[in-house]
Amino acid sequence: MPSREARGAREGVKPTAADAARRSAAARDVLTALVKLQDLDLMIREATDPHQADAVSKMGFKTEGVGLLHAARQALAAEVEPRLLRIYDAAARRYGGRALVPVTNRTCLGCSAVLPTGLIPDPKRITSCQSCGRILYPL
Amino acid sequence: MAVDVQVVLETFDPALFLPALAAPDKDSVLQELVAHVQARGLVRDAVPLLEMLRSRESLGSTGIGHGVAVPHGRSLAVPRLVAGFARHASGVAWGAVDGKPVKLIFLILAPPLEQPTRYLPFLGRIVEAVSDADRRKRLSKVTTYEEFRGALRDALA
Repeated sequence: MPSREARGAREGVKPTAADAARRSAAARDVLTALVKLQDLDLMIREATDPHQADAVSKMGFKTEGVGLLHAARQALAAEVEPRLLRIYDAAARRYGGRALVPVTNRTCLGCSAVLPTGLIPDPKRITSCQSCGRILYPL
Repeated sequence: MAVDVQVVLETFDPALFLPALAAPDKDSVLQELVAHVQARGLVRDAVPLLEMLRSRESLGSTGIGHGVAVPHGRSLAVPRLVAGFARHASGVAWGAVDGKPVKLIFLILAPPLEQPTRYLPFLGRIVEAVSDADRRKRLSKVTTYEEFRGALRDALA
């Protein structure tokens, strides 16, 4: 079913401020979900890396619940739109798990490229670095 | 890579010194810690940070025994290595290795990538610092950030 905004556009109705706020909140939620996903993927990778797992185990930390993390990962991934999840997974494969990278001072901290003037990092929008393709996370 | 004592001390943020936590359970403690991290302006979005700490507890309790817990982990939401200290007077159930309630809580957060990499060595220094009963006893009595710094400095020496 087309969204209220899509129907509105077809019928010549201008989007309202409430529509824009809903869009921003949805994008913010998606970005938050992607950060949670990447954090979880990194935790799984570290917990299953023999060297790191051994180091934290020697410190006295338990790490026996990797199965629970895999289940949580599956549930979280199911909440993300499939198209975005494909972009995330592809970038994660290409960049060693780091599909999202911070952006500060208009610089992508993944590839150090300075963002073009027109590209404004905004937590309310999903934007990718035009140089490396990774999803940008404004700190 | 070894982490210098001074670096450890400077990483503990005075705004994240919480000597009188009273939250009733582990999750409430984590929520309170994250709320302070956000109030300090260290993260824009607290949601992924809290989720990461909960996931870490799912992986295995960060309660290392003798009344000490070190909730820790990496999150993209965190811009740099961050550490905080909290004390819970009555103790809170944490599912620790020895089953004892936790009274001393060290929060350690790091971004996915750091230059130089200090996160794991930092974690190791804290665990080492609280391995001795006298050091834990002293830490359990601190009431000010300065006293905490002094006790931690001596524990790390």
